[in-house]
Amino acid sequence: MTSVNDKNVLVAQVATASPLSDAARARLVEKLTTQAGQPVELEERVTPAVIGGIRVQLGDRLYDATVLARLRAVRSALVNAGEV
Amino acid sequence: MAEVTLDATALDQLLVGAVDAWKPDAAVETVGTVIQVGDGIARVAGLDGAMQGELLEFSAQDGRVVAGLALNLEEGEIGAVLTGDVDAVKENDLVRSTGRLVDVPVGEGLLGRVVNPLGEPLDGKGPISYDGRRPVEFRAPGVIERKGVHQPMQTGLLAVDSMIPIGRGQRELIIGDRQIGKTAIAIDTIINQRDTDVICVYVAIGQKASTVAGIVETLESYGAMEKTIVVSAAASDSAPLQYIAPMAGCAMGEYFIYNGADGKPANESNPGRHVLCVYDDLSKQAVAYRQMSLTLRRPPGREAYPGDVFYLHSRLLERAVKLSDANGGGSLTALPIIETQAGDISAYIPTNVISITDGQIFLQSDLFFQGIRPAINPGISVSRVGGNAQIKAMKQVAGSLRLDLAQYREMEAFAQFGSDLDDATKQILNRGARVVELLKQPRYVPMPVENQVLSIFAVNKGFADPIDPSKVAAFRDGLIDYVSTNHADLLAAIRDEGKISDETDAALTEAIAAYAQAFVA
Repeated sequence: MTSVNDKNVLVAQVATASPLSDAARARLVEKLTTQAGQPVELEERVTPAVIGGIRVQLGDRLYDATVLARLRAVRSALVNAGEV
Repeated sequence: MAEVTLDATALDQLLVGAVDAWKPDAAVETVGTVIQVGDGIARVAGLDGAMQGELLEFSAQDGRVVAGLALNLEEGEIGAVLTGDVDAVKENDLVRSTGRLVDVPVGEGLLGRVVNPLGEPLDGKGPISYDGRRPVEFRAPGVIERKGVHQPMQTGLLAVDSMIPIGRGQRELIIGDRQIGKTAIAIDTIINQRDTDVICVYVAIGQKASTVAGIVETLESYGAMEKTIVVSAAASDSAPLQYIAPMAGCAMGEYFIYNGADGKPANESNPGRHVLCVYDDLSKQAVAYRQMSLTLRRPPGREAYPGDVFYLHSRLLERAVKLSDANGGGSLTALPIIETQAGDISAYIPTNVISITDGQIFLQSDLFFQGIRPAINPGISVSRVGGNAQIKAMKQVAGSLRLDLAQYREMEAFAQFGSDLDDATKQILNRGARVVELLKQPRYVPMPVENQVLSIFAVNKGFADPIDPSKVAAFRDGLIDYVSTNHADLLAAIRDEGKISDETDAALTEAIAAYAQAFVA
């Protein structure tokens, strides 16, 4: 998957359970642009499987705050409890 | 978690408590993407900070996590080998770095267990409690941290302990064709350590699972399993697992030599333990490494092995060590096994490992089929540590054994002339034939060193000369029984003093003479 399109703008992949509101979208674009130092465009994908929360990937940096990821993390913490 | 009875409400509370205690960490992760996968190899884009040999986690679509090793760090991508279920990983899957090099769990809890190279139990005896993790790749100790090898590692095999003695901290290669008794020597050595302070690690690489099960059963029935760890990367396991198996086994053993009995680092006042590591066999590890390297597109060298196959074995075997007293005085003895094809010891991998180890035990098919088992050829077998690893008593009696056998082999061709030979040659032939019979030993009957000394002493003094060669083994066994019952103090004297004093010599001669007279073939 490419993170740069023809106009030399970075593209971030966003996955949410339900579509982003306009306000949320604007805030996200602003935060990402500030951090990347370059204009950022969003490529949104509605993914019911993540149940809730948001997952943003920009280049090789991933921020995963979806409910699905947390459920998996809790499961592995419980299953591997006491493991060194 | 603390012990809890199987009560629904208690369990419920525990789970709720554990979930509440868990804190999500909202860090930004560095991830890569799989751009190509196949043949057990995945090529990953991104992950700029990956380390050589780092453990990577591949997140498959269905939530499964497959582990992989980053081995090729190239300009635009990383070549990683997958250690787990290779079919689960698809193109575009996310790859996370764990930030750590491959490591294995270690600890006292591993003793008596059968595990895979990642430390997971395979024997169905429940979870293992570990005492920490150690990296699979570990820099071998330098010169100053070591001490010379001076303590014997008794194998219990008469042929080995007399002529090719192994010391604690030595690397002794066991080399021969298939089905010749290489594993048998290693297993007998492990069984002989059951009453000593030596911890054994048996690493099975690329073997049939049924064979490993048989070995575990044998060790259990002879009471040797309690102090043994069996690490198994069976033939059906992926090549990366077979590749790291010996190094994982070595890491599990290293925990015991670098830490005292209390689990704290070993030093002068907190001695480290002694470990024996058997790698069965390194030929299969080299083949697995070759498979990984060729699928990673690394250039093939001689016999299609990668260029660093020597380094693969040398860095593993350098980790065998006798530590100095300041470092706790622990030791790790390595018994690598190499399988040759048609007795060709000048092939690539055998010559590599021969040049690395401190000696080798050669097993030959023709000796095996002549009935000489263990089928050791003492002429070309050598131990570069030699006498330093023997107690004085053994040195006293075994000195001429090798020479006797060498002379016998030379003269063997003349044996057919029978009575036409001069007396000196006849004596060489007579004695040699009886020494060969003396060194034959059945499996799973390791001999304590004092019994070995007694047997060789008897033959050296000529007590076996009048006996028919085929009865020599029975003579030896009967002699050991007789002396253990009637003159146990003599055996104790040999064991405790470590040498045969003049009184012991005279008393033994008398006792053996009495036995020999009564011995009826």
